Amino acid sequence: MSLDPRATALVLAGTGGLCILPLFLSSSWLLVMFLSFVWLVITANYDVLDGFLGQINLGQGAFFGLGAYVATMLLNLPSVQQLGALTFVVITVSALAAAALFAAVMAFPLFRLKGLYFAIGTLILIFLLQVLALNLTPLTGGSYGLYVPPRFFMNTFIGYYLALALAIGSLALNFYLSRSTLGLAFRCIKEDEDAANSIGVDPMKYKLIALVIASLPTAAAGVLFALNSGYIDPNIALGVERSLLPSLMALLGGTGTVLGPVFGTAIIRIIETVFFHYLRLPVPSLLFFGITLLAVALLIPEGLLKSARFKRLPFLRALAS
Amino acid sequence: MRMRSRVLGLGLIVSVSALAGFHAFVPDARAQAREIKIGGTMAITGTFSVEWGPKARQFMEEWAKMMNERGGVFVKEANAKLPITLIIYDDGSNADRAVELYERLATTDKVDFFTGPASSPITIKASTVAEKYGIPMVTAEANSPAVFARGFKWLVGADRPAPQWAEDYYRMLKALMDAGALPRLKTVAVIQENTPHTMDVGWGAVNRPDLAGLTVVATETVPPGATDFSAVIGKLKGLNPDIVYVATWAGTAVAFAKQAFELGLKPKELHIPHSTITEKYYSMVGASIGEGITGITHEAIFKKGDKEAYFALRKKVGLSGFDAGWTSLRFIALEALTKAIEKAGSLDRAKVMATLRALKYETLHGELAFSFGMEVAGKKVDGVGNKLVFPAQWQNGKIEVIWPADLSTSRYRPRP
Amino acid sequence: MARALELVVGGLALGGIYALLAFSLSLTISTTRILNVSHGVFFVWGGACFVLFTQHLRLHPAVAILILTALFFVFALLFQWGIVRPLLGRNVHLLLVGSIMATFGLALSMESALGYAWVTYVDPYPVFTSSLAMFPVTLGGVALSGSRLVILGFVVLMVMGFHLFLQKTFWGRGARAMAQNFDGCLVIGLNPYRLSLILFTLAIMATAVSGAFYVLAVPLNPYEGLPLTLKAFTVVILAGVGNLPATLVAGAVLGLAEVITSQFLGTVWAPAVSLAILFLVLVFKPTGFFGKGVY
Repeated sequence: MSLDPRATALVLAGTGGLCILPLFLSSSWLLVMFLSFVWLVITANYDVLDGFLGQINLGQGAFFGLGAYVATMLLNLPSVQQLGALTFVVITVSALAAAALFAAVMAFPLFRLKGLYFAIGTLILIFLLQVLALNLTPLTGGSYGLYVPPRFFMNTFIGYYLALALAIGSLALNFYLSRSTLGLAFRCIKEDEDAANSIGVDPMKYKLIALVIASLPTAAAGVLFALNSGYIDPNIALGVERSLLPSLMALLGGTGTVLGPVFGTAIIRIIETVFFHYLRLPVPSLLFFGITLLAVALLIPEGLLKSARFKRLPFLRALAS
Repeated sequence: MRMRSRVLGLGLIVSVSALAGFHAFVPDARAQAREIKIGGTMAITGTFSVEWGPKARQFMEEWAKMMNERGGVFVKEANAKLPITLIIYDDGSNADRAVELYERLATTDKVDFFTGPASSPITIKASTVAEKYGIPMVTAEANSPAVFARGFKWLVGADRPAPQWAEDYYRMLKALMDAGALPRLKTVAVIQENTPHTMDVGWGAVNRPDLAGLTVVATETVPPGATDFSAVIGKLKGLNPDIVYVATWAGTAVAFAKQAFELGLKPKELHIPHSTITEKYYSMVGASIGEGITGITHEAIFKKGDKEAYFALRKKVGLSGFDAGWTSLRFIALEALTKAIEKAGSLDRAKVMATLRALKYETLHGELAFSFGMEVAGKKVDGVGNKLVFPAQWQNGKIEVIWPADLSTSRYRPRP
Repeated sequence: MARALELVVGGLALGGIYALLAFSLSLTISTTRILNVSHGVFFVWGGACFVLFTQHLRLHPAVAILILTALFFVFALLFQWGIVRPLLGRNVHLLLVGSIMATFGLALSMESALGYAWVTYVDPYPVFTSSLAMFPVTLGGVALSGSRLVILGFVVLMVMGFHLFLQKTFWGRGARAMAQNFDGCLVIGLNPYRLSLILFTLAIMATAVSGAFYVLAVPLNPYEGLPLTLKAFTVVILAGVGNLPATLVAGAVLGLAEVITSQFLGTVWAPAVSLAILFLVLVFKPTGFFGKGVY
C-alpha cells in the first residue's frame, strides 16, 4: 500500500514542529506536553489491542505502573545507584522485562475471555496490582510511596524529547502493524477467531504477542514518568485513570487508525488544559469536562477519524488508515 | 487542494507555536513590584474535595480581599502598602495536574510565593516545584513527617506533625486520670487507614501509649475507604480495650462507628480524630453513638491573635461552629507569610524565606514558630509548625473543646 | 464457635451490600445494551437525595423514597431521550462504545455537580449517611448489624421481585427475549425500544432507591460513584450477567471471603482476596457462577 503524500507531509510537518517547540515553551507547557506524550504512548499501545485485536484492555495502566515501580525500586538500591550511566539502562531494561513478563503470564488466563469479560478481567488486574503496591510496604513504600534519588531526576526538557521519540515509536509501531502481516493476523483474529484458527493463525500465540508488544512502550513511558516526577505512590502510578482515560482517548480518536490516538489524546488534553488552566470558573471544571465529553460522545461516538463528518474533508480522510 | 492542506497544516503549527511562545515571552510587567502574588492549587473537585472543596478557595480569596481592604501589606523596599493577588487553581485531586499548575504559577503567572495544596501526596510533589524554583511555600494542613523530612529549604508548614496528635491526646488522658476525672484506663486498640496522613496519626497512637501508661492490645490496619469492619470489631470485642483509637478519614470513621455500635462494641473511650468534630456528625450517627465521643478539631473559640477578622471571614464564607476547622490553618499560614514579608521589608524570596524560618509571632492558638531538626516518628523534620489540635467531645448534642484549659469550654465527661 | 458464626453472619451481611450494588446493574446490562458507567453515580445521588429529604427537609423516610422514585422516574426518561435515543440509531458496537463514553461524561458531570451543590447549598461536608435504621440485633448470642439486615431484606425482596417480573410477566419475558435475540424480537412484533425504555426506567429507579438503602449502613460521598460502578461490575460478572438471584450468591461469596480474610490475614488483604477470587472465577467460568448469564 502506498503512502498518501498529503498525509505524510502533514505528519512530517507536525513532527518537525513538535521538535522545535520546546525552544518556545515555558517549563509548565513543557510538562503539559511531556505528560501528553506519555498519554499518547499508552493510548497508542492500548489501540494495538482494541483497534487491531478488538479486545478492550482496561488494564493498560498496569504496564505503566509496573515500569514506574520497578524503575523506582531499583533506583533506591545502592548497588544500582553506583552503576553510573549504566543505571538508566539497567532500570529501563528491568522495567520492560517486568512488564513483558507480566503480559506474557497474564495473557494465558486473560485471553480465554472475550469482550466485556476480558475488559473486566484486565480491570481486576490493575486493582490487584494497586492493592499489592499499597500493602507490600517494605518493597514498594506502601501508601507513603517511593522517591527517586534527586541526582537521577530527569528534567522536563530532556523528558519531552524522550517521550516524543517514544510516542513516535509507538505510532510507528501501529503504522507497521497496519501494513504488515502481523497486523493482518491480528485483524483476522478480530474478525473471526475460529476462521483465523482454521487457516493456521494460532489465536493464542498472536494475542500473546500483541499484549507483550503493547506492554513495552507503556512500561518505558512509566519509567520516564517516574524519573521526571521524582515521587510515585499507588495512586499516581497505578491509579485506574491511567487505564480508563487511554481507552477513552482511543475511542474518541477512532480505534484502529494510526493517527486516531493522536487526535483522541489531543482532544482530551486540550479540553482538560483549557478547563483547569484557564477557566477559573466558580463552578467546578470537572463538570464542564464531563459535559464536553458527553457532547462529544453523542456527536461522534465512532471516534473522530472514523466519523462521517470528519471524512468530508478529503485531506483528513487520508490520515485515517 | 494539496496547497490548501499544506497551508492549513503549516498554519496550525505556526499558530500553536505562537500561542506557546506568547506565554514564554510575555513582557515582564513586574519590573517594579506593584503587588504581592501568591499562588497555589486546591482540591476543589475530586476525591480530596470531600475534606476540602470549594470553601477552601473561597476562604482564601475572602482573606485576600480582607487584606486588600486593609490596604495590603507594607513592604519597606517599595515604601508602600502592596495589595495581594491570590491565584488558586483547581487541581481536581490529581497530582499530575497539580504539578502542571504549580509550574504554571511559577513560570507563567510568575507568583512570588506558594500556598500548599490539599493532601500529602500532592504536597510532596508541589513542594518539589517550590524547591526547584526557590519559591517559599507555606503549607497549612500538611503535617506528615514524610513531607518535611527531605531537607527542603523552601518549605514550612503551620500544622503540628500528625504523629504528635496522639501524643497530645495521651498526655491529656494522663492528666485527666491523675486528676481523677477519668478512671484508670489500661488498654488501647488502634485502627488506622492505609493512607499517609492517617498512618501518621496512627503511628503516634501505636508508639506512644507510654505517655498515658497504656498498653496497645491491637493494631488493625484497614484499606483506604474500607466500609466493613465485622472481623475487626469481633476481634476487639474479644480483647475488650478501654480505649479505641480510630485513625481514619471521615467516611471510614462514620462507617466504623455505626457498625461498632450495632455489633455491640462499647469501649469506655472512643476517640476518632477526623470528622467527629463537625456540626453534622451527631445527626449523621445519632445520639446513641454521638454522645460522649471524642475527637480533635483545629477550630476553637480562639482568644488571641486576629480572631475577629478570622471569625468574620468564616462567617462570610458561610461556615459556622466547628465545620471546616482547617480554615484556622489556612488563615495562620497566609498570615505568617504576610508577617514574614512585612518583617523582611521586601519581596525578595530568599529574604522572606529566611525571615519565615525565624518567625515567631502570636496568632490564634498562641505563639507560632517553626521547628528544624526535630525528630518525629523516626524522621528528622524541618519547617514544621506548632498549631495545636484540640481534643473535643460531644456533650448533650453540642461540641465542647475539652483541652487545653485556656480554650476549653467544658470538662471531659465519661461516655454514657 | 460463636465467633465463627459471627464471621459468617458478617460475611452474609456484607454480601447483601454487594448484591445491593449489583442487581440493578445486572438488570440494565442484560436487558438493554447500554453499558451504564454512571450506575454508581445514580446510586450516590439516590443516597444523597434520601439524606437530604430525611435529615434536612425532615420528611418521613417512606415519603422520601416515594419522592426519590418519582424524581428518578423523570430522570430516567430524560436520560433515555437525551442519551440513549441518539445512540440507538447506530449499530451494536457503536451503541456500546458510545454508551461508555457518554455515560462516563455524564458521571463526571453529575458527581462534580453534586459535590459543588451540596457544599454550596446544604452543608460544608459532602458526606451522606442516615442513622434511621441503625440498631443492634442479637440472634442466639450472635451480634448482627440492624442496618445491614434491613439492606439484606430489601435486596432479597427486589431480586425476587425482578426475577419474577422477568420470568412471569409479558414485559419481563419480552425483555429476556430481546436480550437473547434482538432481531427475533422485531419479527414477533415486540417493540424493543419501548421495552428498553420500561426496563431501563425501572432499573434506574431501583438503583436510586438502592442508594437510599445503602446509606443506612455506609456513608457515601459524591466522588464514590465511579469506584462503586466498577465494584458493581465485578459482582455482576461473578454472578453472571442477567442472573439476578445469582447476584445474591455472588455477593455472599465475596462478603464471606473478605470477612474471613480480614480475620486471618488482616483487613488490608481483604480487597486483594476478593479480586483474586473474581479473577479466578472469571478465568475458569467466564459466564459466572451459574453460567446462565444471558450474554
